[in-house]
Amino acid sequence: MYKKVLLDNGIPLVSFKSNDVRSVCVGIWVNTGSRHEDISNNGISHFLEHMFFKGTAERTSQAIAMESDNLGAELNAFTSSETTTFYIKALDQYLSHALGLLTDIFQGSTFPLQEIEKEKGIIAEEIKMVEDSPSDLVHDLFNRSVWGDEGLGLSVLGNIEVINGFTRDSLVKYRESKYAAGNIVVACSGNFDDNLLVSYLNKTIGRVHDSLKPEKSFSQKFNGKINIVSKDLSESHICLGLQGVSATSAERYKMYLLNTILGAGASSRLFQEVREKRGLVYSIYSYNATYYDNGLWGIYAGTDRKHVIDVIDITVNEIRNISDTVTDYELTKAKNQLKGNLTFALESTNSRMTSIARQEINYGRYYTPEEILGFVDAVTLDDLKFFAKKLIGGNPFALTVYGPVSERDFKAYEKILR
Amino acid sequence: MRINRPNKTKNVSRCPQLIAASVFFVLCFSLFTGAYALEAKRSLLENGMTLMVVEKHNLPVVKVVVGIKAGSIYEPEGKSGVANLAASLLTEGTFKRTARQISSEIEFVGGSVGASAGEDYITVSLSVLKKDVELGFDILSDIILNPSFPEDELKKKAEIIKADIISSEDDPSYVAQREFNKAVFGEHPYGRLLSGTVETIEKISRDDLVGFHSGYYTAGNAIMSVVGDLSSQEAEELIKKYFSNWRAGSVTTVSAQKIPVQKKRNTVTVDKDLTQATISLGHLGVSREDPDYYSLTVMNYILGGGGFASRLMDNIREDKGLVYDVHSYFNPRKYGGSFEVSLQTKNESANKAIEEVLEEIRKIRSERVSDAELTGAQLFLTGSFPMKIETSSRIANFLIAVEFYRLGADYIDKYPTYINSVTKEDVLRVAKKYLDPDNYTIIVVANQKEAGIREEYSK
Repeated sequence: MYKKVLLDNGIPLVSFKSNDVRSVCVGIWVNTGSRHEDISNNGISHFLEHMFFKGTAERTSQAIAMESDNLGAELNAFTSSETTTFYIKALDQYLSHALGLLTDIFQGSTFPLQEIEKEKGIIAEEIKMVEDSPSDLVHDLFNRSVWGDEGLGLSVLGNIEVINGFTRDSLVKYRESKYAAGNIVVACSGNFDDNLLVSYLNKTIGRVHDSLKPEKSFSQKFNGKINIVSKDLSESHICLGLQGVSATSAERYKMYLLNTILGAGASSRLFQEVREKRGLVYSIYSYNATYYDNGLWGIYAGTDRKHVIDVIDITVNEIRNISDTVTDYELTKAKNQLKGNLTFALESTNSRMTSIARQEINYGRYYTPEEILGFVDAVTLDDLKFFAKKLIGGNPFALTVYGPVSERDFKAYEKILR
Repeated sequence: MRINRPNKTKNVSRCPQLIAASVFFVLCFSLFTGAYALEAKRSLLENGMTLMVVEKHNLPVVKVVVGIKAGSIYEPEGKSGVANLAASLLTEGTFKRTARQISSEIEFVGGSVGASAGEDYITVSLSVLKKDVELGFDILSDIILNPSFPEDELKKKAEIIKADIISSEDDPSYVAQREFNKAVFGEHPYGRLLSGTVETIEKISRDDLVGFHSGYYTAGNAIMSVVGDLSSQEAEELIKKYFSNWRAGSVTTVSAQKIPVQKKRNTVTVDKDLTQATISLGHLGVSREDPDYYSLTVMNYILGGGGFASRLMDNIREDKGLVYDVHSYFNPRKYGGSFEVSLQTKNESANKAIEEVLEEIRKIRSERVSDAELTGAQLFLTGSFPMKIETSSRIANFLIAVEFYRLGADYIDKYPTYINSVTKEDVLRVAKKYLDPDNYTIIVVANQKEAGIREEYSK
């Protein structure tokens, strides 16, 4: 059963109660991430997220870890380009303990100086791990090429030099400016006592200040650029994409369906054509990256050097032709795939917590699975064709290739992408 | 790339007799009761397959997992990769359906089928909405019982797997893991790559796949779990309809292949242009069926299994700031296992990190852990246990493991007792018995010039 209440300071608390599970998952979502940073403080949202586990007025970092473990709980956090999320998942009987821990780290963290210095080293290790993993790094390179050196183009982890310049003062100020009531949503899913949840949160998160400086907002241009990054690797990693639609767009369901038909699942066009029929790649898939005001429709493929051009050529052709060739059968299949994915995702308290939080952040309301499936079902083949034509049209593709390739390999093929 | 020679297997029937087709429940009892209200009905079918059914009616979904003793340990000499290829080709064509028909038919109803190989057993999985369960079982039985292993699909799949192997060479964790298993298990099949190598894959023919399938993909080698919005009677009827023709075969056993015990230090370095050193340090561990498994679970949790509360994380990440992540784990299989500490650190910090890992291993072997550490580990392991088996998919996979590793019908009820009965003395005893800070293998994938691994670690 879904429910939404406002805490005393106006923070929305959205919850979904299920009596058939024994766990409860509570998440605090703050609308701040790497896109709200700039080149001079890139990485600060993620750095802050780490610092919330380094000790509070009541607990040392070790005590936080021990207490969480003693509950058998999963206490963790993650940062994306738009949000920073802190969550705890525990058995239902430990709800008040779990809330105690989660709200303490969220509100009572002290950011000890020596911990800040140590964390700089740890995050440097995390950044280097990504640098050593080509299939991860290619996505960062691609985003930077598509969105430029600001907003959506900034990586979540940031860069080591900038991070080394962070001070306790800069972290505290950043927290003050972003972690305000108007920027927060709390979500809870699983088996829990409503009264306990609301009263506990009102005594804690319900007292977070609500002064919020207006967020600078600017719309970002999609750059259909070719970006070749040479590196002596065994294989090449390709990211290709077009501007997609935003998370709040009325056309988002058409986008999901088009993406499913193109590159989600073993029966999708790209998987069948590029991998199954021609055996050109060991991996290929398409994805939707949606933001509140923008979107990226991307394709990732991994292949060897000699097949890079073929893979790009065939993929671009598949996309250019999709509006003329998509069939009713493919549309029905895609609708059923979305239906299946949505239903299976309801089983996990983590994914349900995430789903209701994102809906609150993006739409300020909740859509039931039945409503969502209704929107999906309402898309007709003509709608989809029209949408695909508009989205793809003659728009330029963005391309990033990372691997044993050089720019001159692509000179003759630029026209494919235009 | 070195190729490990597989060991011989025996008692594998190549001409199993067909057993009367009807599915008949000869055993039927409730598997789990009590604390977590997960009621599984376990039955042994006449054709030898074990069936576990858990009814879960909160959502209209059904998850089926079939575990079959056809993992890489059964691969014939020189054919490393055949188990993985056989499993991954199940969805690439049957005598009734092409690869495309299989994926289209199941995805048309929003479901999925897939197969993946392990060392001890392979699993074939089905996820489907309740209303399409009939079609789901039809496809599931078709791919398990009647795969045709088409030549062209074999060729394509082999190319894709080879490309994947080559691409993985750029992933330092993959390289470290491969070298670790090779060094620790030597010639034993657990030391081989599940995927096979580029060389062995090229030697695998369609006949090899057909032979492997007919020898091992038998009902007597199979455990099926059905979890979701289906009554046990509905599940039984579906199985009768779609799996009654599965021949029993004879149950696969593996000869007691000795895993060579290493009694010296062994350092393997792989030089790569990387900013970080990826390090794996460890040695042989235990089988999942070892009675010390639970004491080891508690001990390892305190040492390096327990995330931020573990000693390795506290020392090497939180105190020294050398790594983003460090973990230790026992990886138990049916016939043995490994113990491994893995971490990534700056090339220049590699020696320091190794030194700290060895120091922590020495420490846990020489002093009792504290009351708080023991209680913390026990509370976490017992408290998080029910959350690990909340979704249909997790329950279905869990049931296969419970049956395969003979963990017992009352495993869920007993797990807290197994963990809570571990004492500080047990932790010390198993640390002394199973951890070895002198005779170990270290794999270092790094820029070796910058890492400059000290000689003392290899002598």
